[in-house]
Amino acid sequence: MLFNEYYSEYYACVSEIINEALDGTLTEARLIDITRRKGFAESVLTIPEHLKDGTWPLITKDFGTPLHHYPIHPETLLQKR
Amino acid sequence: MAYSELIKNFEKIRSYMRDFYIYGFKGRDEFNTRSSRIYDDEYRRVKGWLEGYIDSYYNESGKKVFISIDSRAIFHNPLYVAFKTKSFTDWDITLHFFLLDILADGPATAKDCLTRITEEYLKDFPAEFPDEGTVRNKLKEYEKMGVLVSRKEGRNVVYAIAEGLENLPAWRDAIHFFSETMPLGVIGTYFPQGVESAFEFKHQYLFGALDSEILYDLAECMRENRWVEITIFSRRKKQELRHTIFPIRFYLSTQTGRQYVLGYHDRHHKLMFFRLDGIRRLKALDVESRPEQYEALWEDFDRHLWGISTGTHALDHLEMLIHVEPDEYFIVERLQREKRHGTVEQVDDSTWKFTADVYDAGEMMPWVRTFIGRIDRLECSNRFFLERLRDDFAAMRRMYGGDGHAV
Repeated sequence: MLFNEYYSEYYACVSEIINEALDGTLTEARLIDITRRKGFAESVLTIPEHLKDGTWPLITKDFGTPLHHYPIHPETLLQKR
Repeated sequence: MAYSELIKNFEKIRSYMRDFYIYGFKGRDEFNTRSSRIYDDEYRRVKGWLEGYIDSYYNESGKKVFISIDSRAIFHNPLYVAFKTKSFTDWDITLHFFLLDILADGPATAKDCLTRITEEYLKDFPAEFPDEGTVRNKLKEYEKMGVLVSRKEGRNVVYAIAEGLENLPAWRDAIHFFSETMPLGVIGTYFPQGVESAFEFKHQYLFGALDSEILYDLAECMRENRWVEITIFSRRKKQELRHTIFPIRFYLSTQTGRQYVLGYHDRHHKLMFFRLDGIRRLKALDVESRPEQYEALWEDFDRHLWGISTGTHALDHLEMLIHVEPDEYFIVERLQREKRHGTVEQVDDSTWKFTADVYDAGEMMPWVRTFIGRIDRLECSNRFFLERLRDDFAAMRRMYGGDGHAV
């Protein structure tokens, strides 16, 4: 399918936020900054809030992450073809 | 429902973006919607995605909004962003990152993944736990997409990350070029963009991007030799019309940027063109057991096509004698390159003849005009074609002919 959340700009944005968390450099300001740069005009109203309140349990309260590896994005069959 | 930047269904936003971009003449009260609140939401979405590319003007009937893009000033088609706005559930995004992180350590079953998620990943969160069915469904979904592979070990199904493309960075330039020049180029933008593209384009047709989903679904049907039912909105009849066709080829105009599908119509029993931007949705139907009969039909049909007009009568015969000096062989090369199904032959040292039998000579008019100044003789069985050309010459003579009022 051509239209799929796997290719979503939100996923790419959260991926970069997790990268920063794994590097130990994520802060509130960086979270907002990455969202402004990678997301859409109003993404800053959604993404930081969902990550901070645990709706998307991917960033801890101290701006760490439960993930162990930098996020990967394996190619789909659509991309490989 | 609360407003969201993301959407569930692409077709709804496609029609709004087309009306904004291609037409750009509609105001808020001219949209055929249930409420103006829907217009406001869609406008807010498109503006959020295409910040910097939305412009507006005022006329006597109010404010008109349009998308304004200078193709010389961009590296990527900004309309592709619409394909990266699919909505998702909280578990969709959470499991996406959790499962790929778990499988980065090595293959695992759905149960293994669930255990790690509940005991390790979610231990610092007050979130509810997913059930095994949700985890299994996500793993199966990603396997179907080609992101994961699975194998059976006894009674268990073990999942692992699928092998990726080799040496992807080496393909970067090819991917950048493909994404801006080829149909379904949006797929090229699904790869990590990394550095800026090395390419800039002076002329580019951007709006075809909005029809990518239709084109992709049609291509899948063609690959499987399936009939399709296409739904088109007729602006003349102001209603939706359905057609059942066997799609055979895509035609993409380098002159207008329009994209067409050519298919055999089951009710009219002939080959017909349909513009992709007019197709609202399509439904895959049964597989055709003898696709080769339509392929043969197309080969015969294509022999006399100049563009996409199939005419309404017998073929138009056109002959054009072109004057070419000995040091102007580039004109002959141009004729050979652009002749399509016509023929080019030398008559004498300075004369070449172009001949074509086409369904509609009218489509050749813009091309024939580019040889004005070199045409020694032009004959065509379609008298309207010749009359039109003569009328054009007369109009040009009046404009530039040097009468007393000429500038």
